[in-house]
Amino acid sequence: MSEWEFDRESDLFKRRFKKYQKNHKSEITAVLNNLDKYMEAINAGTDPHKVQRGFIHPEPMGIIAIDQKGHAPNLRETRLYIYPEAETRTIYLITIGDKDTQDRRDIPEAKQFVEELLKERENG
Amino acid sequence: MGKRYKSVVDLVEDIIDDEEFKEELKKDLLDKSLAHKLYGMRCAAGITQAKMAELMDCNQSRVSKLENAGLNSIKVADLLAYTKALGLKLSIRFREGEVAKESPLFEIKTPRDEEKKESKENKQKPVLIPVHVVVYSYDKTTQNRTHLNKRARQPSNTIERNYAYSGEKI
Repeated sequence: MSEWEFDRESDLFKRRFKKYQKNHKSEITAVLNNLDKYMEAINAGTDPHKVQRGFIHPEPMGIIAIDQKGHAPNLRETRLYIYPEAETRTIYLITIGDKDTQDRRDIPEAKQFVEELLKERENG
Repeated sequence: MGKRYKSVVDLVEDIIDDEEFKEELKKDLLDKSLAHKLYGMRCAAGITQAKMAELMDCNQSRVSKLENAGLNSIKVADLLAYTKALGLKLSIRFREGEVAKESPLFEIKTPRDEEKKESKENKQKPVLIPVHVVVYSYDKTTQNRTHLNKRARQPSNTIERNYAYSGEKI
């Protein structure tokens, strides 16, 4: 079985990540370390939706939010939204944000991303 | 499909704008790679941190620290205890090789990696399937096809070849 890979082609991710990394370096370090752990877990054979850890939050439509916990204290609550697609063994990087933007902006945008991806898959 | 990355380190190379921060982050991720591998193996084994602590005869915070530790903080004794708890055997191998400036000085291989390597090697081995090719003569006017064997009744007029196809092509 092949390894999982990341796909970050979404314009949304590029835009949001570019902006977020400017002022939140420690949060980015923490989130990417947690993403690395998640990647190790699924490459070792864990079901991508069954990785259980404090930094992983299941969201609607199979979306997963990875936070900044476990690295340094007093970091801003950060969420990296990803979507693991088992058929292609791809982890789509969708967007990044904080607690303030999660409900009003990030989760709806992530849902829209997955809806479009699923539609694309249906239409072949 | 967009640009794809095999690891977070590869991803960092491309998505972090600040060069200094990028190098710092890559260094941090490489430093934690062994700890993250341990975490991945425990998850795949379906063992909770609490259970792991029980199996290692330590407290849960030690397991947590180990799974976030940098290379300088991980002792061989920790690795022994961890692998034993997972029902695995720790194997340390010293290899000769050129020390590349850019690449990490160590490799971490799990049983899963070995399985993947084996399955890749098996995939690359060609599967030999004998194929019997028979050639016919074809008459354009009558549109008749004659088996060369039947026409000449000579085995030399029948062209037979055995081809080897790799399993993948088929």
